[in-house]
Amino acid sequence: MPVKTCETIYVVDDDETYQFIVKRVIEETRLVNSIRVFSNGLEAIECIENSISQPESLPEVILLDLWMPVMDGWEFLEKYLLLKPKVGKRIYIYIVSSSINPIDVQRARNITEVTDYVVKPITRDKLVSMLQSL
Amino acid sequence: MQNTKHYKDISKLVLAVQELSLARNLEGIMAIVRHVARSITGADGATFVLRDHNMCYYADEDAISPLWKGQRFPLENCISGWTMLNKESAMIEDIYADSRIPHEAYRPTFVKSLLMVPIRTIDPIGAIGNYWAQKHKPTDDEVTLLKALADITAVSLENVKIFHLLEKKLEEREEMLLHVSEQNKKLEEFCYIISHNLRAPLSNIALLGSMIQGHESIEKKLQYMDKLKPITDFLNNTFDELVQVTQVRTSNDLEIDNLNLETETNHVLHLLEPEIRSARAEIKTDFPERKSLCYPRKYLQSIIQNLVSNSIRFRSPDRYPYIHIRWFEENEWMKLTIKDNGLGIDLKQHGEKLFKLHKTFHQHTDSKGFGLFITKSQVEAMGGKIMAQSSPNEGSTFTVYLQKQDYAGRSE
Repeated sequence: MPVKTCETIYVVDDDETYQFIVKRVIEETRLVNSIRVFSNGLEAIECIENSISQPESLPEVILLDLWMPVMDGWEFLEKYLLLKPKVGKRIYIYIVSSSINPIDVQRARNITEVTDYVVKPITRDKLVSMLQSL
Repeated sequence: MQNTKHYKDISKLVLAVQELSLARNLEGIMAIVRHVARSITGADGATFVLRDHNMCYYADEDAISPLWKGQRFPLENCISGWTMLNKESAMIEDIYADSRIPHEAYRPTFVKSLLMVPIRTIDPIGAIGNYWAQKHKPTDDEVTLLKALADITAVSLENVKIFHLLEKKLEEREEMLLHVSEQNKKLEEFCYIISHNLRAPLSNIALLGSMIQGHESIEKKLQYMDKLKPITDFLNNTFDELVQVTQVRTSNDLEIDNLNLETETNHVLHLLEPEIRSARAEIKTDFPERKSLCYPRKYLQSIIQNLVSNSIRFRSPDRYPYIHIRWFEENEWMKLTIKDNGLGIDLKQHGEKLFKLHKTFHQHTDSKGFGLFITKSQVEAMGGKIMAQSSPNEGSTFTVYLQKQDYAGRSE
């Protein structure tokens, strides 16, 4: 039994199939205790806001899609930056997107809170190395 | 003494050559020539005459009192015309003794003697005139100097013509370059969006594939395989629309059909009948008296179909759809408005993206982000335009401006 390296992970993506798949892949790594899935940035940011008083329930990792209805990934990041001073925990944010547009990649690089930019598909190996490097 | 004057005149001519080489338009050349023409010969007046078909146009002058600036005379009735027609210079010591001179035109002026030389002797395009208030017989030196000035003027005029031609070509080239780089940017954006919209389902298929492979349990394998079907459907639709998009973008020589608006509109409504019925939509149509329009049939049907099915798809859950399709003529346009009472769009928030090819959301498998982009392309490919008005929860109105095409000959 591998040691859990991550208590909670957020998956923020509107693609239901992707949600299903990535959830399975994460479960199979057995490195994460709890996976929470959100269909857009707003749901995720609200959850973070509500958990600020209990840092232990905040995620260690967020897998963030860019293009989502209601609130997209960029807007989520803007809102998160405002919240960050109150967040008492190091959260690793990975952008996981289908966009290979260099403008998107560069924009992500300019945000220090973004740990890495991963172009889909995100493989099991990539996830494992991501989770083990925490 | 004579030598010193000659030297001075030559240096005036050299100075004129230098100035003329910098002139970039006709006005600039004339301003230099009229002044130099008068000063190198010491005449009391100089004119710059241009040939304008079968007329002499007195374009500019520099004289002690007004001559004929701005006036036109027939080539046959005028000494500058004689010079141009005969391709040789005219030297007249007493103008009132010469039958080539229209005496009436000279009577109000100071002129007693004149010297007229053609510009570009082989095929004259104009003439330079010198005038004296006292009877004067132009010297050989004066004739030589003025002829030299006329030759230089011809070269300068030719240069200006070439310069303008080059400038125009350069402008055209720059415009073309701008157009190409804009197209290129659009194409690049197009590629990123396509790759995004295809990559999302493809990466899901790839992951599901590896999950199917990696699991021993048949039950699990079947469960994952079930997930494949909607993705491939989505991919298939996306691909179909992609093909449509590229078709619009590449069809340079479209076949124009002579269409009846009522027939085509009703045909599309007939195709949409199942959707119209299941949404319980009410549709009203209005047509102008002149119902014919020359347009590619495929495009016209696609435009109507896309807009009407959008109205149905984005209907309000609170009311049955009411869609008003109205064709009417306005100036050079044949206009189509499609007004609905549906969900509406917040144009402030989404207006910019409305007609653009955009990345797709996964929640609505129905919309692949191409619909309005295709419609816009089909409208613009034929020189038309499309606009949207909308208020959330009240409805939308799309207005399409189609150019009334000439059936026989299209400009492209």
